[in-house]
Amino acid sequence: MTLKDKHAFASIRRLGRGLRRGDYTSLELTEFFLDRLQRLGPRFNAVATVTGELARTEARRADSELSAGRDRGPLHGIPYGAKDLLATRGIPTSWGAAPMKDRVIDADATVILKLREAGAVLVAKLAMVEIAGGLGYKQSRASFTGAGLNPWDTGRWSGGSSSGPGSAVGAGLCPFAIGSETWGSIMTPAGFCGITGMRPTYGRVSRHGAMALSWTMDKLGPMGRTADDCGLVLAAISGHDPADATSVDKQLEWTKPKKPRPKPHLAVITGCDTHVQKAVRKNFRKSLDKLEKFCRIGEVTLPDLPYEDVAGTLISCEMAAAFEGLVSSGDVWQMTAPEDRWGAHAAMMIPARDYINAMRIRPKIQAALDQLFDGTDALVSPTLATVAYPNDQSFSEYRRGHHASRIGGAGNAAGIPGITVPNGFGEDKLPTGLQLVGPAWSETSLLSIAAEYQDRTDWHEEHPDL
Amino acid sequence: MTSHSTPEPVNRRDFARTLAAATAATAATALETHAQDKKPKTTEEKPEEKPEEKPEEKPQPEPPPPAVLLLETIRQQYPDARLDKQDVLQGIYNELRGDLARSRRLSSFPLENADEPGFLFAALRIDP
Repeated sequence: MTLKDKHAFASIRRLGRGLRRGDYTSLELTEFFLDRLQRLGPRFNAVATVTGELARTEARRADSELSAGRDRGPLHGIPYGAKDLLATRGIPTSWGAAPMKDRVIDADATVILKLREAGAVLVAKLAMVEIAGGLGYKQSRASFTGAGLNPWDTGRWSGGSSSGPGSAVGAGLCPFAIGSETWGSIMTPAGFCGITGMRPTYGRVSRHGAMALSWTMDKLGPMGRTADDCGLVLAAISGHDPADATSVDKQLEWTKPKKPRPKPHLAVITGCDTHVQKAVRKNFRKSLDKLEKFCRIGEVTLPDLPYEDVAGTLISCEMAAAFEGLVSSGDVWQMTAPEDRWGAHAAMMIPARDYINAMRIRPKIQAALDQLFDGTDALVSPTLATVAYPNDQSFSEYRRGHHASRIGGAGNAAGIPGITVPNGFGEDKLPTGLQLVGPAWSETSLLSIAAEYQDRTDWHEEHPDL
Repeated sequence: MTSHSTPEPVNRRDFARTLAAATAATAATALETHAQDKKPKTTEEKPEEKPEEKPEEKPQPEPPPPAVLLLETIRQQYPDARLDKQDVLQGIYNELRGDLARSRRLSSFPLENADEPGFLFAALRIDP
């Protein structure tokens, strides 16, 4: 069977059914995606390294195991990409940074090992913003692989810092990818590229072998076509890992798409669609109409707490400790974005008092948000205030006057999960997104609400005409 | 990631001049005070019986703003000629001012002595 464009944008379950029916082998599926990565990847600056040799080895293993009756589950034989901050033995791990572009870490990250155990096939290390954006980039040209380009319009940014996972999944270069979020790095590229992305609860997924930007803020999570896909991937990568003391023994169970509990209670964050682009607001309102068919919807006001100051201080201080060597060695001057060459210097001067005070305020943020979820399953808001930014403008220039809710900073400071799903198209026919944020460990609930929303809409089936 | 108020511009010459003048004045005053403190007071010395005169008040030199001092600390701690470019100095200076403003906001948050840092950070969910 010849694999076609429709397979490039198919869900994991659909690809798995074809594999088990014998429509194609994992090796054929892998070659199909390797070809797309090599042919289309450069168009979007989506790829750091195509891992052809490893992919073919893993695909052959998947095929021989299936032939022998061994089925590792829904990810068996399915190709995927990993953000290039996850260590992979024998393959460069660049962290998006020019001085490290040929560096090989001789170990596999836990997430890579877990996906291998689940039978998935690594086809590419995907591009990312240098040092996961921790140096303070202010425009899209901030990676040695070039600006992440949006598959819907290459004049626009794909989002960051998981730029490669966003554009690769959006362009059908791999069925799913692993991204990371410290503050917005999964939700933003997923929102801009019109795909589904999940930021798990802090501690749900081991970060062993992933670049540390901020030890107390970093999370790894799935980016895919659907909420169901994200559930399947999260189930495979979650759970305790002795190598990461912050990982928790809470493995997500997601074998079948789950229905949400009857009439889950959602709360719109007050003012979340006031300062957003007109089409973002319109799409959000339409999404609420869809959600109202199976949810109760109320409204909630976020407590007035210094979310951004806390999250910003924690990230700056932890980044300063993690990357002082990059600054003192002078290697930082090789960064691609001019502002990333000096962006870390100021953070070196933040006093310990500020970090400790941020850590003292953090439990109050956690408690206040946790209380907000009494009787509420999830908060809803537009994922982003605008569509993808143009590549020829600074971020602040394009988004001037626009801002969505403060839930991004709040949710990341508190370590709670969120999911974004595509919900239409806005300015210049670019995707917009709907965001659901829940209490700690509520991924199953968030995924089931998002999956039900996707059962009732077809935005997730839209893809760019490449 | 950080929010800033509109920063005032700094250029290399002004920055260097401000820093040099302020540092020199601060150092001179500090040395003068130090010298006065060190001057031996002998028992033979008798206080002159003069009508009490108010010492002439010298204007205290303005200390350099904290962001300027921090900028100089960065230049000392991470010396590199590339740091001295106008746009780089300005960029770091803006970041420092933003960080200092954020620091003031964090310090103004009401905290009790018993409010411990969440160093053992874990996601929180109280069982409903």
